[in-house]
Amino acid sequence: MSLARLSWKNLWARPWATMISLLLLLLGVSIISLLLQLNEQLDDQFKKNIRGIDLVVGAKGSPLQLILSAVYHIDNPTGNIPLKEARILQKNPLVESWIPMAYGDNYKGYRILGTDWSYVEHYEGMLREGAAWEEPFETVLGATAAERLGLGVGDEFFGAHGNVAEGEVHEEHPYLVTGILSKTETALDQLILTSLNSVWDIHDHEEPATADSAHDDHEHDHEHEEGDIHDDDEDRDITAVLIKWRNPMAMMTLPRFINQETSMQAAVTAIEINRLFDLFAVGITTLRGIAMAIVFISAISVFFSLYNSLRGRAYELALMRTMGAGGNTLLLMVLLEGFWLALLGALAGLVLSRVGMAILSSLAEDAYRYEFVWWNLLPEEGILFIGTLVVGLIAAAIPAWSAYRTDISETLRGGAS
Amino acid sequence: MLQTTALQFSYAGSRAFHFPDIATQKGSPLLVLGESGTGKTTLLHLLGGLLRPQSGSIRIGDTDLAKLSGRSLDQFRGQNIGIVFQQPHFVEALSVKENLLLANYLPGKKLDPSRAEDLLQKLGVSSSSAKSTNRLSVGEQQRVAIARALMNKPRILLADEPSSALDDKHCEAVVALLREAAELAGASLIIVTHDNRLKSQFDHQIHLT
Repeated sequence: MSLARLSWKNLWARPWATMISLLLLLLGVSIISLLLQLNEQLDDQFKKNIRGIDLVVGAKGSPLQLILSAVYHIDNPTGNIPLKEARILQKNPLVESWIPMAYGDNYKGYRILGTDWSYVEHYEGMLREGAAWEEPFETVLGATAAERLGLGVGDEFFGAHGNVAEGEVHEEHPYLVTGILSKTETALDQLILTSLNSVWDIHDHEEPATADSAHDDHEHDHEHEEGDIHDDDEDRDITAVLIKWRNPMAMMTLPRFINQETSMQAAVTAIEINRLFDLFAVGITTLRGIAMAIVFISAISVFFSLYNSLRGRAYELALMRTMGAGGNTLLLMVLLEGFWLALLGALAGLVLSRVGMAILSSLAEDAYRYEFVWWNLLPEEGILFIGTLVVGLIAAAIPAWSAYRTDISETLRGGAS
Repeated sequence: MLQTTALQFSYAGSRAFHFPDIATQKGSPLLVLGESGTGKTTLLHLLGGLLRPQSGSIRIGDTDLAKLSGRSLDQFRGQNIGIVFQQPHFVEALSVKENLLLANYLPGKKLDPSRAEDLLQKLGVSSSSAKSTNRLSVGEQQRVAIARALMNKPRILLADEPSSALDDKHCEAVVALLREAAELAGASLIIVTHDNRLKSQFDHQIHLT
């Protein structure tokens, strides 16, 4: 027998009122927690992947699409750009780093990206197993891609054309896995990386009639030099270039130069991502308002539930006083009832939001190959948890005060008549 | 055991009750008889420490109840006075046995489960120990309420209208039960009632007018 146990039992002596209060609390807490998590995850994923990339240069089209495809790999590329033109930027004094990339095929929905090793270095990728690619059709797999595809060093696979898993399969050229990267928690994890030459080669073989075929023999002579890009790749196309500029002043001149003087498009990552976040923000703010309202309503529900139950239990409370309970004992008992409700609601809400995140994470993974980290507790969720307990106690305060002031004699007379 | 002198109480805006002095002796139950409006319930609440008198004293052993207040009054009441109300009420969320243990817990005494079992057995309701209180018959509820009042070995057992709702046969049985229970616990029994049928059963009586 203890006050904690007594108040707990009191709650469950009227299960329906308790369940309704709990449900409302749970709903409010889980929505807020889910929003906090989602916000954090999106923020985290977007910022992590964009770090060190100031500018994305690709074919003309939607700048946001260009960034979503080239940095996050969740949209289709805007098109191709000539390597020759992109090379002009490499020599620009405002450009500090220059990473070329070309989309090739995909394997079971995981994109095969032609690039050079600077791309891996950019994301601080480390080889966990095997070695970097050297020959065409040698690939290095991101950690998640390797795990989900069940591929290891030495395995071979055939890519399918484009970004669609069901695309036409290039059966004549198997890819070989030469290395696997350790996890970086960035977009790198879900990619299959190879040299630019592999991407060019596979399409050369497919389209022997194009002008590129003339270069074929010539090209092979140079492939042994670690997939380096040479000036004689002039007629080659790539998908995009990731650029980090030497100083912020470049922002004033470089994008304008590219957009006006070349056939290419430059998208400033900071601007586009902020625009995207502004779009999210409206929705998130609205949902947060709704969740706050639900928490507020649940506080009122806790209040009425306790208040009603105390009116029904007035005689019981007076009885407890005759048995030697002090007014403060009753006060504490009712506060504890509010506390239990809030505690259960907050805990269940956090658990439910985790379930929600797990579901969202698996949806996001199916659609975009992204995983959310959903099991860790955010500092804001700690505040949410404590805040919910405080709300529960506040809602219980008035009923608790009236329990404290129970007039024993008067209540007993009323109850006996 | 219990001794009152010059007890007086008035509700706001109505005439004051002046109660005759009461003294109980061990082993001799006291019957307080009075019609409605004679301050019967008020006296019971004064004796039970639920109301504080305007003047006069209520001595139980060495303690003057009228001088206690706050926590010490709550504790003294819980430990020394057992009250059986006309209609038995319980904490509904708890089982029969837990209700008895609550009588130990609330005034801050050590829980005594074996006394609870013992009392339930002696009052013939040991089989309902684990039951919820609202599953008991009215008769069983009354017995459990008596058992609860005796949990802390009180010096005084107060009974409020224990028989007024009962027929003659059950009326006698309840009074016998209360006498027996008080004797068992070594408590002084005081019955406050308007039920004249009890007149013949008590040597020691006080009439309120």
